[in-house]
Amino acid sequence: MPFPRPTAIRSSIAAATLVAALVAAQSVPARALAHWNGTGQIIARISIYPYNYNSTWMSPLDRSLSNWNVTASPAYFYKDTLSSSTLTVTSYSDTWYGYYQACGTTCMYVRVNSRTINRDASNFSNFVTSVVVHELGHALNLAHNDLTSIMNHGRNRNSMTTPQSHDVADVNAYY
Amino acid sequence: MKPQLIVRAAGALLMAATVAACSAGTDHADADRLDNVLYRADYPSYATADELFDRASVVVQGRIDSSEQVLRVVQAAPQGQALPAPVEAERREGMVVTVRTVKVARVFKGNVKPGDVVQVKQLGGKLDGVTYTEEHGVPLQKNGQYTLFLETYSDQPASLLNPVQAQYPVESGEVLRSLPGNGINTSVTQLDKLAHR
Repeated sequence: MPFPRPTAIRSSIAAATLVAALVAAQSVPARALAHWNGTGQIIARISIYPYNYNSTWMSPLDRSLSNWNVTASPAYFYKDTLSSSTLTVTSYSDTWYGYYQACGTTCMYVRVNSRTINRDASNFSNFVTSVVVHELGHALNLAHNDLTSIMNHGRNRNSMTTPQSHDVADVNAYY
Repeated sequence: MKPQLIVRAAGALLMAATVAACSAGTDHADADRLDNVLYRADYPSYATADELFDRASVVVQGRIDSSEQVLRVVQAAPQGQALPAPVEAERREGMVVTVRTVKVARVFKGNVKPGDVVQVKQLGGKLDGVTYTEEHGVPLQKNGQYTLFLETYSDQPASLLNPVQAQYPVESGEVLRSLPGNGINTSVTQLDKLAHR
């Protein structure tokens, strides 16, 4: 089930705007704004159940949240024991580094594969942060792209650790 | 890994996953149950066929069997320790995968031989009325012939190195077709050369 865009919800207040919003929601966004979709979280203020790993992991994990929180956008991630969303680091028998799945409009599972990251990272801290910032980008409804972006599969994970200007613009465009 | 081990591991996985699927039932973290779940994974991307070949533990050409199994893969629960409810819900949700069997016709790399079978899992599948889909995932087609770059595991079926870059449908006998979005072209001749470096 696709999640409704909050902009479309707000637009429903006025009938005339509703028509425009429905048309906008059903049309394909222009290329410059095409890098998001409706499979993330409904609001940009997103809670995560507190996670606890050793300091080698905690520092880059926490930095991932901070790197979104300091952007000029509505994005804000915080830990809350009432949250259903989780961030899990485990050795998965699979080839991906990171993974995002929505479990509801305000629920997400972010998984981080320690096996592939430990194998491939030359700068471990940066690599972990890059992977998690990318997955949190999905929570913010961002999609993969081929630009200078944290959502680019081909980015250098050992050095790109922050949302890029295009990513921030996409978040602002969505929310 | 020997192919027999791959098959045995897959059998064990099936048992564990079936139990998990039955017990997990309606244990969803959010009140609104999703009919369609999108998996979004961040994979390594590769620049050349050499990189793919070097990273793979098994590179084979073969035909996909007509049978497939959809399973829920869950991580083992820690012994003697109750997880917080959200963490336990995430663990029991696991990941739904479809496991397909490849009958090997040609081996470029790995401890397998022609005639062996290798089981390959891909994220996604339909289970308990819910459709799980991997973004950018391209399911292997039944009876299709492929060249595959795989990573093997002791506890689960093998995985493609990358959902798009690690599978090449075989056409007209020996032509390896790159999927849309995969800029790496390769050939049987090149893989033979890489195998005999």
